[in-house]
Amino acid sequence: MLKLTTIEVCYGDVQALWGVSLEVHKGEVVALVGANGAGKTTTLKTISGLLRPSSGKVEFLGKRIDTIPPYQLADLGIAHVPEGRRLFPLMTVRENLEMGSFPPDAREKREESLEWVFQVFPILKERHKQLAETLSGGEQQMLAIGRGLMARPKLLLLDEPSLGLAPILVKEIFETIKAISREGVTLLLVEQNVQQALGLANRAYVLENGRIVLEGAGKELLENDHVKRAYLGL
Amino acid sequence: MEWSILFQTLIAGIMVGGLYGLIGMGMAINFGVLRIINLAQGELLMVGMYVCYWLFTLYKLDPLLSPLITVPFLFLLGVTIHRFLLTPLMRARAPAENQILLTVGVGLVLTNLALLMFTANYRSVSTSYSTELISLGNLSVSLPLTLAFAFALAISGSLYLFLTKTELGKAIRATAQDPEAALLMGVNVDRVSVITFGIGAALEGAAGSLLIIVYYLFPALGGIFTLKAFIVVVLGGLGSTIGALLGGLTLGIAESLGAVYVSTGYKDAIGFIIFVLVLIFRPAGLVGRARM
Repeated sequence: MLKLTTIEVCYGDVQALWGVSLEVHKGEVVALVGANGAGKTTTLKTISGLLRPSSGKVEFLGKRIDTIPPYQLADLGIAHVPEGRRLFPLMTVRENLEMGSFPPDAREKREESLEWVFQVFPILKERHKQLAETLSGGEQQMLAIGRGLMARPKLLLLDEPSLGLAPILVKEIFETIKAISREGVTLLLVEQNVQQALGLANRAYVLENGRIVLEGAGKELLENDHVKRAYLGL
Repeated sequence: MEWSILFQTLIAGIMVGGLYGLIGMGMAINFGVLRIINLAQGELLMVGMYVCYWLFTLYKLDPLLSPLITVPFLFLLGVTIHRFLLTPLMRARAPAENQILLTVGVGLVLTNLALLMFTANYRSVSTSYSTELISLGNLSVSLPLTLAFAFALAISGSLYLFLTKTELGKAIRATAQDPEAALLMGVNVDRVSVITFGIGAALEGAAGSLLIIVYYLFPALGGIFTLKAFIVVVLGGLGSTIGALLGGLTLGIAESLGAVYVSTGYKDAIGFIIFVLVLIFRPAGLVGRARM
């Protein structure tokens, strides 16, 4: 479904990604794990067109997407839930969700999608008239994911969904991600919470200093010595 | 009798303030999305007034109907300025101050073009209702000012509905609040930026049509109103359209009270004193950060 081939990305003179190749198949949950500054967010931003690769290519459903304007990607079926949530703080919960279904195809299914999101996150229904900035951290994360779902994406990119949340909420968010995956949405998940992410993912990639150093099934990587030492503190 | 003067002053202030609010809204919506102050806002207002003046003088078109022409005309002018002057600067990632300087240049060109084409003469339109008064007991209010105020409120209300109820309006607000997130939602942020600049200019077209029935017109009028718009926008909290209306009312009332109780000569000074006081005590503007 998604295929990155030897992607290189630079911020000015600083190169952030070195020949990154990865694939996500339909229906999978793929995790991209690694330390701070390894290039995880950069990879996601390159997929959603916020950054342009200096070489390599990004293909989605067999179509090259690193050359088309980024605002067209949402309509192709890629939704990106960015790091730090990036909600529209002075819009209501409902308006934020409506913005999620801005692409023409998603707009037609807006009411239906709203019901779906409210079913996944009942708290959002309760708070639908509140401004996004007045929500708690956990609720904001739910809204960010809900806003992504409103696009009816074929592929959902999740950047650090558990960042800054209390342990109990982290568990809840991962349960939700599982549930979303069961609904048939393909997921590419970036996480610092390596244990949880690898436990959930069908396959995973480990990114270090802008390079993919390991890949394999999620459970397999959990048993990998390097992963254990570097990321799980075992 | 004392009280009736006060009421009269307040009413006049509120009405002029409604117009100031409308003038400021164009600047506010531009700032919200483009993150730059358009210092040619008053000059666009001046252009709108000249269009309105000639429509009246040559074709007897009532100024209150002229927004039908001034609004689309100024929208196109705004879009053209953005497309051919601002866009290249933005593409080159020029610093914001260069973009602001560009708008100053646009303002100078517009003022001098008007001077060249229409001379420095003061002009005004006199409609059938230009000198009419509405009397309420011992209060009397100018009819053209009342009409201008009512139209200004109606236009502000329409802008509010546009921003909160339509897809494009919501996309504009989303872009103002987080352009990168808006892009991820599939909003063509560059196009929104152009359209917003057009709307900001179109609002001056509408304001020009209303201002001309209560004010006079000359080429250098732009600078004065750019300054007033700036005060209004800062009073209202940068980028907030509702705030701009509130800022406009504050400025209108302050000027009007100052003119009556201090001296007409100090009218503008009082506006600036209020401006400085608000900056000292409420630096985020009167309504805080209720951006659009």
